[in-house]
Amino acid sequence: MSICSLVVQARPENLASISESLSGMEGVEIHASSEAGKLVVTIDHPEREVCSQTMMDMQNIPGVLSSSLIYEYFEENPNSDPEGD
Amino acid sequence: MKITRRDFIKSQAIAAATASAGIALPVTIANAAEEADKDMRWDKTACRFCGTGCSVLVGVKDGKVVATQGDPDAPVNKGLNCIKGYFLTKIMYGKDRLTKPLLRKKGGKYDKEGEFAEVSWDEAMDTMADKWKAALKDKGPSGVGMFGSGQWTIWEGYAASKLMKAGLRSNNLDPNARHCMASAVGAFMRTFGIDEPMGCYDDLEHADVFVLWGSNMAEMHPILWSRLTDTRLTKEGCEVHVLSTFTHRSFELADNGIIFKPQTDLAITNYIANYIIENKAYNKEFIDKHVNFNKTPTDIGYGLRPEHPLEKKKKGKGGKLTKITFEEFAEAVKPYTLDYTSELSGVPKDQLEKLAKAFADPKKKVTSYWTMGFNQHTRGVWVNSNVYNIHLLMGKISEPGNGPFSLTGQPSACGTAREVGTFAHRLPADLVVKKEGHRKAAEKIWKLPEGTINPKPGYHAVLMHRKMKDGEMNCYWQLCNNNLQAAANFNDESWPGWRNPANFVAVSDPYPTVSAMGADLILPTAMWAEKEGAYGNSERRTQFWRQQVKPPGESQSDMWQMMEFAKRFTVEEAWGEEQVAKMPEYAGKTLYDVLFENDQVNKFPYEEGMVKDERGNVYDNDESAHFGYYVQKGLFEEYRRFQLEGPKKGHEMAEYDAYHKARGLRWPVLDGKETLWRFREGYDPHVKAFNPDVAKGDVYFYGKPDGRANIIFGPYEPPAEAPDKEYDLWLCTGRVLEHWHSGSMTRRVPELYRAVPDAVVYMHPKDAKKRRLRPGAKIKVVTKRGEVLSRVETRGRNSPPEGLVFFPWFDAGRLVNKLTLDATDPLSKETDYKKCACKVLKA
Repeated sequence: MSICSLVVQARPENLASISESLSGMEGVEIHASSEAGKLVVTIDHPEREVCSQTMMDMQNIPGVLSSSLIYEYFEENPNSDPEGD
Repeated sequence: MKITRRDFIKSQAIAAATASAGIALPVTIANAAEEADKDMRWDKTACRFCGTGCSVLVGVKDGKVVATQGDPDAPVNKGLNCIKGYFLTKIMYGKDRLTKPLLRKKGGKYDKEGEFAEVSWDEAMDTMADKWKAALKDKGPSGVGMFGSGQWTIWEGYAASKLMKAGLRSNNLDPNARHCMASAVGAFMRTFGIDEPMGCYDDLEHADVFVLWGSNMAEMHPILWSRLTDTRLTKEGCEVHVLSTFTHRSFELADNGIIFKPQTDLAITNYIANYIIENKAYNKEFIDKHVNFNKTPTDIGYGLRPEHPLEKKKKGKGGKLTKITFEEFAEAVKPYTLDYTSELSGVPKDQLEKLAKAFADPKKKVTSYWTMGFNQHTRGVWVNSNVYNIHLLMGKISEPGNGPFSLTGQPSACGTAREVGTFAHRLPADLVVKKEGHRKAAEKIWKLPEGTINPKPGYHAVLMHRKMKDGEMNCYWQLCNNNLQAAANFNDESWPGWRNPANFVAVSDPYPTVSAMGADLILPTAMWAEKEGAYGNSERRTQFWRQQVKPPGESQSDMWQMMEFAKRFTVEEAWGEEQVAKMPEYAGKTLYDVLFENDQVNKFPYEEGMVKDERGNVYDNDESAHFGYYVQKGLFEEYRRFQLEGPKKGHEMAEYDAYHKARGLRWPVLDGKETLWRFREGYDPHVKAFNPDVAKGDVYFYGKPDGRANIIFGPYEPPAEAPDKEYDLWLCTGRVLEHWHSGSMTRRVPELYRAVPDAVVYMHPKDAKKRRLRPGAKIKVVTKRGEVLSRVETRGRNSPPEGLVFFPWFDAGRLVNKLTLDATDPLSKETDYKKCACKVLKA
């Protein structure tokens, strides 16, 4: 299980297009956004590698000024999550 | 609907992120978030990576770090973390982590040409001690040396300083911070007489104008960048100027992105000073009251070996300042006209003027930031000073939003390397070995016989490698860094030095880095949260953390290693009989006895279970359990005596226990209160103490005896090496976002390694076309010193102008330092990694 959350700072004028790009990424959900261009995003994917790649891809979306990691959790074969996905 | 553990954790993740973004949170998520914490122990730590000094909450489950969260209570990062923070949980768990000491052996015995074999700690330390004793006997204290780190914890640096300078009477102790901060230190001392920035990160919210000089903050200090971005997007009229020799991520936010030819930053800074004077924009009252004008010797060479043609040609020497008048200074900067500077630097005139106007506007608050672009420079001290000149001319300093700010690249370049005196010329708390009064103060606090501390500065980083190659320094102990990969001119200096049969090289490292593989003895090291630690960040903030987890196998912290090593020397072996005779009570004792069991360091008792947080959680402290007293506290409290009783005021820190409670405190800490802006009445209590007559809100630069800062004219002088017909490109090296420094830690994270596995050479498409290179083509980069294979990249985040290539240095498989030149700033002894000449060929 690999879950992390980020705050993505978009150029405010590009918020819509950036939201669309983010939503198209595997395992990515947008939970909130602000007029100032801040987006609250989670990446939830069984493979950690995908999470880190996604994180790096986010940085490269045109109009993304910065992305900050807020929380991350990683556990191999979490026995407390028997039902998986 | 059943709520799973995953839902809880996800809620926690969302809750934290919305809070950081300042967005309200649905109640259901908030409640679920609390539930996720049940089986995890959370505690604060300081991030292991850059000099920003973010506070990171670490979640430990079953003895392993499994989660991290940006600390919402931390003033530095306010709940944010950068992408590298994602890898913090992983850096301790690389598959090739070292767990046992390894010694090169042949036929069961140490042999420099042997293979690495597992040995006990006793065998490792005894073998090393024998070698050190032989070198001490043969060459004296200059025959041994230690190479430390701006990633050491504060007490590790302090213990190293004490072991080398008091114990072995050798000043051959230098940190890897020599490669990143030495020029900044040199300029602080020359300009202000006291080290480290006067301002703090709060300037990020107060400034109207930000100027980045040779700093890619977007990738290298992402959290500070996000704060800067916030200000830029929300404050009316806010401007960002970015200067570099190639285009990088920070240019995306730039209102004025300036690409200049390497080395011409010296001219640009003087042009701005000239602009300010010609337009009479300077703050006359400020400079009359608070500034002295000076010039510095010129044509001072490039810090190469004395027999190098460039050194033979030089006419000037050193950095002794000569006082000049304001008029003479104005005359000195006069040649730096808009036309001349634009021509020399290649920067369009309107861009230069825009930058100059931002500084010259008395209504605009300007904060300057710089890192390696300025410091790794053969005129690093000059160019640092040139920026101070501009801020001082305008009086834009030491107040919210106004100030020059040197950023650090390592988590404790300030706290450890600079503040505790691990440089070859320094002692704790800004003291220096060459001043008798400073040595005496240190000897008194350390309870040493008079004359123990050697008055001669030791070998600096680059000189150590030269002395090893020449067989003059025979023992070298490198801890907490990767200097064989980091030092310039690998082929001609570092490698021959390390493998010289006369030398014994020990490396303390958690991983088999290039350095470890090049050593004779490898000592496995406990890292970061595997020990109780403290770091000092760029803004003078000291931060502590508790030991969160156990180190693997037989790994031991660097502090443990140094203290155990001290047990292997008697004072007679280390000091000589004559010195011991001055304090006969020390006769027959070991260095460990006199340095650490001196009734000071061992003053605070330790028992298992006493390290607790406010929530009642209990933490280990392996070193204290081993030595039988609270080692970290004892070392820190002894170090504080230098701040409180030493001859230099201004570095005061709070008592040990205060830091386990606070999210760091910025020194000077007086009466429990931190200092945000130094040198200004109302913010810094020292000002009134030094100058009782100071006007309300006025400044006093108390690092200098007359309370005045130095404006120092440093002209443009050419670099040590520039492109010519054969070597027709500039070579610049540096970092990338994904990998930190030499990649020792980040390249152990499998997905990160796969994302950015190898260092590529960033090149302008026209330069690639000229050489018939397609993107991705295999190439050979060649300089006068060596060649390295890589691939060419013409797109991506770094876009060099024509005539320059950028080649990052994180890659152990593509050692860029086979190419670089070991030219240094003759004043700071810091290497210029940003400029040498290369050619690129199809491979």
